[in-house]
Amino acid sequence: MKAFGRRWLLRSAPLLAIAAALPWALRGTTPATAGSPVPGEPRLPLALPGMDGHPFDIGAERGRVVLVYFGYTHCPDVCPSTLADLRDAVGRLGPDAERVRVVFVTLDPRRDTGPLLADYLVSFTPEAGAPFVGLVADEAALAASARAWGVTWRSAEGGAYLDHSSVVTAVGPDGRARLRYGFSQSADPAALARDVEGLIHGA
Amino acid sequence: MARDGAALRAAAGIAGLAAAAAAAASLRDPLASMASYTGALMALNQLVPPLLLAALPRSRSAAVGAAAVLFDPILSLATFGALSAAVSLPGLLNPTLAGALYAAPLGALELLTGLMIWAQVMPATRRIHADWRVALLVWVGTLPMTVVAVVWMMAPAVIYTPYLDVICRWDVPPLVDQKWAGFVMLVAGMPLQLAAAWVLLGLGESTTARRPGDTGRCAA
Repeated sequence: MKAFGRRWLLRSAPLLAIAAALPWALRGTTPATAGSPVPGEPRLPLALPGMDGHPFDIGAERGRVVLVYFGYTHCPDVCPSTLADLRDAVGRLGPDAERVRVVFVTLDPRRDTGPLLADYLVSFTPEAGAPFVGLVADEAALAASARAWGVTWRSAEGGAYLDHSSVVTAVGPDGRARLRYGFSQSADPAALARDVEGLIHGA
Repeated sequence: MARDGAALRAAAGIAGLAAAAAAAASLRDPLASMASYTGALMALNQLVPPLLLAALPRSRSAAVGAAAVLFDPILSLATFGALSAAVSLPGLLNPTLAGALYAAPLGALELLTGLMIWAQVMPATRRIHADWRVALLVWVGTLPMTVVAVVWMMAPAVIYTPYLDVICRWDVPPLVDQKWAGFVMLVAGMPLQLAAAWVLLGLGESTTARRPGDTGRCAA
């Protein structure tokens, strides 16, 4: 009987171990930010033509938080809802909105011309702060930039649509990529605004 | 007859390896929908294991003996249930633990835990003789998977981020994709759940012949 009890105790060890670890395993700590930290906080290159024809270089944006998103204007749902969330987040920043730049890089440069992109982004202009910046690159430059930012995409339905990674990357005032937001993370503008304020004020 | 059995086992093994290779290739697509990604994980978890285990001979080979610890019923129950819940609902976990889990090869983990739970059922590796005990273990073990599948199908928001990226797909919005992924998971877990419930409710004949002196206790 004793041997039987010992055997079952040993065999129950995995269950007991899982039960003992549950308090820690289940939400032991709350993340400090809504966005996920970018490992290594790299300086990612982004120097592409803007929708107005002028070159844009993220290196010239030091002192600002830059929110970078790759998408396309014919996107049926995820891109416009992400841009709307960014607009709402920037709108919550008050005077700090002046220290934020939202950059939208089109993954569909054949259709998204500069004027078309400008018209599209006007509808996402925040109440305060700078209008969104659109970037239109040639295929080779776009591929290099997207690769650096960890964005993949492919044509679908004969080029009518794209499938693509949907990630907002927040670059701190020091030019380092600090936080990244998947679709559901950027869907909370209040939390996103808190993160941006933290980056602006060096938290 | 024995030759037929060997041929069937070989065919099952080849089919299992082919299904594993196809699922692993599917997992490498960075723009796969959540539903197809879940389908690949479920193939590794619920389709490949019975095929591979069916390829093993029933005789107590050295390999089966060596796997006795890995296929321990209680360990299998705990590991399968915990991984099913942790992979599918990472938001419940400590972020450090969730990050570590998602840095691991999920496909390999799903295959491993799938082998563990199916080993309780398949003849070559089964160690519990009483059908109702096996059925109870399998039913309890696969319950978290069914619950998670229902949560995914009913959730009003996308819940699997940030540990898996949401893909902007032209043909399916993220929330709908998540619902389909939940449906795929539900269907994948259904055969074991239904078979276990069938036995527990006493609706079928016992498939395991009772041997003289068999008390129904675990053989280990």
